[in-house]
Amino acid sequence: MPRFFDANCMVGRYNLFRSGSFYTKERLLQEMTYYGISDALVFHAVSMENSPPLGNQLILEDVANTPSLHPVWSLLPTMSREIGQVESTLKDMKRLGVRVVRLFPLQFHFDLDDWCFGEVFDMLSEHKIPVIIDYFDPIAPHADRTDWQSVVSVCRRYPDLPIIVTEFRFRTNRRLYQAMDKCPNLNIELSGLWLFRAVEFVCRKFGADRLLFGTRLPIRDPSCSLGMVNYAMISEGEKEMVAGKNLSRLMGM
Amino acid sequence: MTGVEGKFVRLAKAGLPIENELVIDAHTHLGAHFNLYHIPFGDAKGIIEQMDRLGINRICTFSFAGVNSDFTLGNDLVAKAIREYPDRMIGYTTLNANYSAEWLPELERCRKLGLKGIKIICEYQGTTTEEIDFRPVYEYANQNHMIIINHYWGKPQFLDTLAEVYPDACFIIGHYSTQYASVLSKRENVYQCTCAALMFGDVEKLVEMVDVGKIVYGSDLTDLDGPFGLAPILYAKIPDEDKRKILGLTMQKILDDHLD
Repeated sequence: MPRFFDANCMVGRYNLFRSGSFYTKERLLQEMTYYGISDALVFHAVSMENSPPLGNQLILEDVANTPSLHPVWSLLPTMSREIGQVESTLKDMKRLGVRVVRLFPLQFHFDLDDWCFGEVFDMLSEHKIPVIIDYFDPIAPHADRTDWQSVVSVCRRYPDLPIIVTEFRFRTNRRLYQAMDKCPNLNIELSGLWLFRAVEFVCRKFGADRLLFGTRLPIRDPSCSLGMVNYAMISEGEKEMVAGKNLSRLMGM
Repeated sequence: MTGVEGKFVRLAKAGLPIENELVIDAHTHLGAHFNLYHIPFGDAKGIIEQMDRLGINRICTFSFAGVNSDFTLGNDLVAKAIREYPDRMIGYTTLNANYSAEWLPELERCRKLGLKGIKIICEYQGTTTEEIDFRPVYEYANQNHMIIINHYWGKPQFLDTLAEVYPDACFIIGHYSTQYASVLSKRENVYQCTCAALMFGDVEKLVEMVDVGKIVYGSDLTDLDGPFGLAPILYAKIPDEDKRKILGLTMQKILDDHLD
């Protein structure tokens, strides 16, 4: 069985909570044990829905002394000054063991283009910090809201910066595959890629190093992504890459 | 909260096919072409490969083309596939809500081709089941003891009335929902499909609310990946005996009651 490193977990109270789900770190750890997930990248729901700086602080408190949970910070454009100076923020991340950034362009109404987010991307690229781009939209949760034009532009502007797209490619893949073909630094997190034999197709067409296992716990059933990896008709080595090795590599672990 | 790791959890974690169990997928699509996205390996052979990988014995299947294109083209593809794989595929006729004059002729034509059930999916055809007068189709299904699977049946009261008026037809709720719990407990001829139970705790919640004997497994493959729909049943924190009913025993009973 491959070692699973989940690229997409969240803790903290979130707006559209469903009964039967959960939001605490303790429960997340219990569920990870049940499903056989050894490690997880975790962001705080407040980083997604209210304030990245507040959420960034909360996630550090939540994952403290929990080696299997790895904190993720969210960033914003610079001019509002909600986030401190980019350079000092990145120094803080390094000091505090935060190795991945997650961006929510739809939730916080900003663009990835150079005029809006260029200063941040310049620094992220210099430090080669993997960036998860999450176009989650609570109003249209099953539509692909990804701004592929912007994603491809960022990938091309910063070819050494690992970009990971997530949420939601449920009913589309033609733009996704074109973008993967054109951008070698573009990676896909699995929890939104629900299509028939998609894991095999991506591995054959683009290589197993481009796919990252993720569940979107506690919102979605983690077994969907686990099943797609465990039952994919790919080699055991490719499964290990998708399950966790790719993410560890991108994080420099 | 955490369940006992039974046989199905162990198989899922090991990525092993389900063996020595009956697994029937009640909700699948056939056809390698769809406007929304590219479907790799989407022909009948590609589907059989994944069925073997997962340990699925049989699938109930209907066409993609019937969803939002030429339903006769799609039904012909299904007829061809069930001729090639008669022991693995049970074909359904897909109808288009906007072609009422062709419903009964198409049902008759497809019945002669060996298709056994009926699929309706009005939401992809610009309307809803409640807006369309499908009475000729319901009567046909009732007379011929057929299964009708619908993408969305609308209000529970609407489905409840249909199940009462057409007691010899079998009504399957095509997608995961808990809103029909009262109809499922009241009507013997109504069943709930698990497709697509993708939110955390969905399967457990459904089993809490509905008699497990009224739940059938469906994956939506090749719309979705097969394991995407199967794994939530395998990993669910419910007893293995309940999983057996959901995975195939209940659907087999439905097929026994409704196939010629």
